[in-house]
Amino acid sequence: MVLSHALGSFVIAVLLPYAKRRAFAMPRLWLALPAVWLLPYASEEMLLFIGALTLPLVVRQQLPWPTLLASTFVLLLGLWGAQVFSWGPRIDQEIVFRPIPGLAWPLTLPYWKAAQAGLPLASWRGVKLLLEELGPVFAISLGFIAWRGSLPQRLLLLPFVAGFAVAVAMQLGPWPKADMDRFYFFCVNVVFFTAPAWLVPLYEKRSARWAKVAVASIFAATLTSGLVYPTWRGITNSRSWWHAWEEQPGVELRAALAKVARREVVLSDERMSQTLVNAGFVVVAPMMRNYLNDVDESNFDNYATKHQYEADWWFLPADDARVAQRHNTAEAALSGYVLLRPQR
Amino acid sequence: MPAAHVSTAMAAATLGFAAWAITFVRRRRIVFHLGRNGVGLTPAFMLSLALVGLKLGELTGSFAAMCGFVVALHAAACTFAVCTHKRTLSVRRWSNIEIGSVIFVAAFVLAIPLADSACHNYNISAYLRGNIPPSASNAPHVPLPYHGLYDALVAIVVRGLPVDFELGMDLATVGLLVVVVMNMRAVARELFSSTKVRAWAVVFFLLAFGPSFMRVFDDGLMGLHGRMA
Repeated sequence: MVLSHALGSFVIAVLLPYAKRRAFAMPRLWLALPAVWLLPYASEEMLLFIGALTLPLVVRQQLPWPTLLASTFVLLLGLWGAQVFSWGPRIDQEIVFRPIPGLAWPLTLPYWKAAQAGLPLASWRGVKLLLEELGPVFAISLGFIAWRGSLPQRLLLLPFVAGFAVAVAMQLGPWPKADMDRFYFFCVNVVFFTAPAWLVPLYEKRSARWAKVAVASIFAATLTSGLVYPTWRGITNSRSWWHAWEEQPGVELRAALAKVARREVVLSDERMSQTLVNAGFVVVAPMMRNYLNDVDESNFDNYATKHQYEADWWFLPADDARVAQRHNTAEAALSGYVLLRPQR
Repeated sequence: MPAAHVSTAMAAATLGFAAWAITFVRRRRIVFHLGRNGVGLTPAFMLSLALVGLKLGELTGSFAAMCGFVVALHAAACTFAVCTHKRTLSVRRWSNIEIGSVIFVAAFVLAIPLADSACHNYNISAYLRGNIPPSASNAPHVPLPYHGLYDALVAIVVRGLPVDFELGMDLATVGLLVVVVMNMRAVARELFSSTKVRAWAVVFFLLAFGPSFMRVFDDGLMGLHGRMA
């Protein structure tokens, strides 16, 4: 997420001066071409955000057309290269689970407690969720900038509007609808970014003490929840620093199983398969539908029996019956497991 | 010298050279090709060059080549920069509230385990093992379409320093966070005339989430939108 924000905010910062048509020190747009090429690799939602922001500039002919053509070409190149777009739709669901986008009706809000279906937008719970998540400062900022803002300020609202429309109007088939939250939640802070435009002057213009206190309270209330939650998480769920200076997880496995070539497939039991995946090995194992690279232990035996002949290596417990039946010597051993070539 | 030591040295050199190159280019007038906010936008531009280098290096299937492409592109940027004069125009310093909020968020990122680090482990390990670009974790002929760009960057950090994946992701995230803030300062300069509004805009961008996080006490972590962030 933060990577796509780094690229996206760079493109926005280069584009915005063109909305003001300022002649002095205009950015050379072609310098943003590398970032434009990378956007499809970074995230789908950032593509939408940048597209929504750029469209009015294109319609108003505020961007030089040679750079626009070059950007379109580079973007298409990125879309062709990015596997989410080029390869993703063709992936077998049994190998890598993938979303199948479609329209959602009635409109639903992404919600992790009802991950698959979401919450109906036109319901009391849906409205309450929206109000709780965004709050009054967000709503006032949106209205204030739409009413009084300059063109560049208004442009900054478009990514949120487009993202929200997509988030409520689309669903992802078997993939959790809740994952669409990124389409608007990742843009919420861009609207909050504009809040000081009315809050700071409001504070500075008010001479009455009670008015200053009231505006300062709005500042505090808006920022406090963003301070409370991280602090609480930091205290209750701090990370372990034991192995911070080693290339963990999997440094021992990668060293012990150095004979396994980079794309050779390893058959193991369900417990070790997850450890092997974390260490970067390709395994014979089914993957969970909601979590990437998470071995589905409930379906492991059926899958492993069906696909066992795809394995280039076995990495099994030394006392496993399949190891006992083989007479070839182990090529490596670690933690009670041995590495063998299967005899075909 | 073992291959692992060679790749560690290359990754460390790549990180070191990238840091030096950003500093070097920021001191030259070439930055104004990125507009009047060019000084602040230079790290993001250099980051985009580094990521292009990683993607081009992926085509060779070699971790060392990925590092090599990053260094080559940064060296090219430095070569162009050296042809211009040194920059004399100074830039506006960060305000205390901007620095404070960045430190707070960085400390938060470093202090807690990331919610979805498990799904990145395979990708990062795949880069370190030379499975480049990473294939699906249960099918070597199918490319894995998710998280490749970020995980390639983290793999360089993990191998170069060396640190565990969690810390590698944290450090990469903090670095990217600083880049985002520098970009948003440039955006704020385009949007707002008052320096006070600009500074608070960056703070609101980083920390203002409305009452959203209070919901964790009702709904728990699973109820939050954007919890992966």
